[in-house]
Amino acid sequence: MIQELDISSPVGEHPIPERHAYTHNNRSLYAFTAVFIAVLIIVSFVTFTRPTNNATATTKAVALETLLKKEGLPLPTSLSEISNSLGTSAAGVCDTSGYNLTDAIFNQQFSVGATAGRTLPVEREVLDGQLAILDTYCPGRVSAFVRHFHAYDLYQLSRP
Amino acid sequence: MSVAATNPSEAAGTLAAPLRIVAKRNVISWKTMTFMTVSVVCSLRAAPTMAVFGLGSILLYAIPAVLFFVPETLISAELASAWPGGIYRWVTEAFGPKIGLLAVWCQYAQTIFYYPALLAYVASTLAYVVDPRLASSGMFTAIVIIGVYWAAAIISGRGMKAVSGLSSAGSIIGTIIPGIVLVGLGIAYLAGGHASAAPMHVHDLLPAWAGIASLVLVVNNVLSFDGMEVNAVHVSELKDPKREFPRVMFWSIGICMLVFILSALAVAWVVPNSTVSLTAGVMQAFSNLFGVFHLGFMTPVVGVMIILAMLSGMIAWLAGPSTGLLLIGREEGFIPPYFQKLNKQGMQMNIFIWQGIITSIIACLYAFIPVVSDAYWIFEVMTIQIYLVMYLLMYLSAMKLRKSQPDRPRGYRTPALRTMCGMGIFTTVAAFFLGFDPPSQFHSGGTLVYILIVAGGVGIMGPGAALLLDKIKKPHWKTFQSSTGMSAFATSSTDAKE
Repeated sequence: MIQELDISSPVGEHPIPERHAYTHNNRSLYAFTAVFIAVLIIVSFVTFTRPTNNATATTKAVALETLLKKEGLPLPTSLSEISNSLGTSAAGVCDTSGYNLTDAIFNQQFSVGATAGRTLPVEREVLDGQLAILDTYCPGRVSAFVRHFHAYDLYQLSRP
Repeated sequence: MSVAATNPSEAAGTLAAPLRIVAKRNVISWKTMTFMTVSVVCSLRAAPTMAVFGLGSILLYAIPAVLFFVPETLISAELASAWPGGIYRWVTEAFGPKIGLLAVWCQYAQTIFYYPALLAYVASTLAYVVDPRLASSGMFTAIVIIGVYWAAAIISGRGMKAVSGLSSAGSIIGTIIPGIVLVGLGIAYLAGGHASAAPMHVHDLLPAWAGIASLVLVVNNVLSFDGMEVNAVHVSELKDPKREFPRVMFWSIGICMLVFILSALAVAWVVPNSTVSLTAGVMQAFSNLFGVFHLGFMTPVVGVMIILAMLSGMIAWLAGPSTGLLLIGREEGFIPPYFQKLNKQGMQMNIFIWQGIITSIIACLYAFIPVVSDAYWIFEVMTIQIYLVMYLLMYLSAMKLRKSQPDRPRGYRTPALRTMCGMGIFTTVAAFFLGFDPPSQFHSGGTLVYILIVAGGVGIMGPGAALLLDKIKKPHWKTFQSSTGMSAFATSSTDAKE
């Protein structure tokens, strides 16, 4: 048996604590959300700069592949995979490396779970690979990147 | 007159008004709640991180699933099918309101640092598709965190129907559909005669052994599955909670496992570890993947979808633990009446508003003060330690309630409950203690310093804060009393029948 002690106050302006007394539908909210998402997709289509795959991109891809090979790191199966994804400037990597906020995102990327509260050991190949990309496409960002990550205690995935 | 105490069948002829309310209350279908749960627990965010471990990611998900996810799911299903109200109710039934408060506070407290971090991640993903340089802008990050939180709070204030509708739709559009695309592309890549970027031999199922780091890797991954119990607080909104909530749990566990494992494998097949480039978050990995198929134009679409999935998860989280806090606050007087106020849709807007103020302050500190963003992960470590305390209490409550209330009707009974609880407790305790092992990121002092920082934070934000709430509670803050421990909201029709 449940007793309600006081249904008029201090529960606020709505005396009956019924979560379920819905009186309106949410069509306008759903419509607004759908429009907002559509606008966001259109804006991102317009603003997103796709990597340019040209002769310069291929030259850079060759340089990266050489560096990855030299460092003993895993290679993509073809040069075009590198040039298609990194283009001439690897903007997505270069513009997000060596800054406090993006480095914080990196830490978060290694955390797991819905609440992202526990970090997994950071794998060495990931950092070494990113360093190789920076060295090839934007050498100016290398020092800031290394400064942040040099003291990390890294997990070695590769087998002896 | 309380609707909760009214049997709908008896009320049909005599109490028209309460019946009308009861008739409107079952607003969430089990399918909707399944996708709400999926939106809380899983996303594609982890795919590139786990892809780094290649085929080993299967085991890295399977072991924690057996040791933690399955017990968590089955026990939540049993408890929710017998006692509506979620974690506060289960623990209160077993150990009394003070421990119930500790449990619900532990669930709520970990959201304090979670929202700013999640929304910072949303900001970086948005920056990637708009202009990657924005990702390092404090102003952009702060605006996104603050703006999105308040938008989510307004949406949540529209009621559980809006929350369940948007969060379940978000999980389908932002997780399930892109997940299917991702796996489809991965299979197409292999079918096209390409070699997998990560080795896929049988012996690769075992991740490389690297001492304590490997142990940390496996045990910490149990946290991949946290949050399954969050929506149990809304169980009364199902038509037939006793039958439907277990169904929600079973479907959720299946969908989450498929999403986690297959998405990680798909990235591992196509993108080598050395080009994952995780400072850009999940987006660079997706960009690489689409680049292989000359589908670069898809990158911004998937970016927006992933943002949508994160926001839908956040909306579901916002409505979950805060409801638990509200319920125990109303029944036991732990929180002032101001925070107990409900809006027209029965939502705890004042809790949302104050959490929004705190989130906004944290967002500014995170975005503008480098030392805070640098060290932010440590706050998340502390709060997840606190969250683990809640899980421990949940498993202990399940064992106690099976013993103390064996005849209580349950819609679902967990098989081998003691074994399940034992596994859950073992894993939770192991994860808790390994939380004191400094991770790769910690290089500002020795292990002892790290332990003291984490233990201090856990003590203050967890039991310390719960103790404070208990100390300041006032009898006249109770606005609802339940002599049988029933929910401060209307209880389920199933309860009414009992």
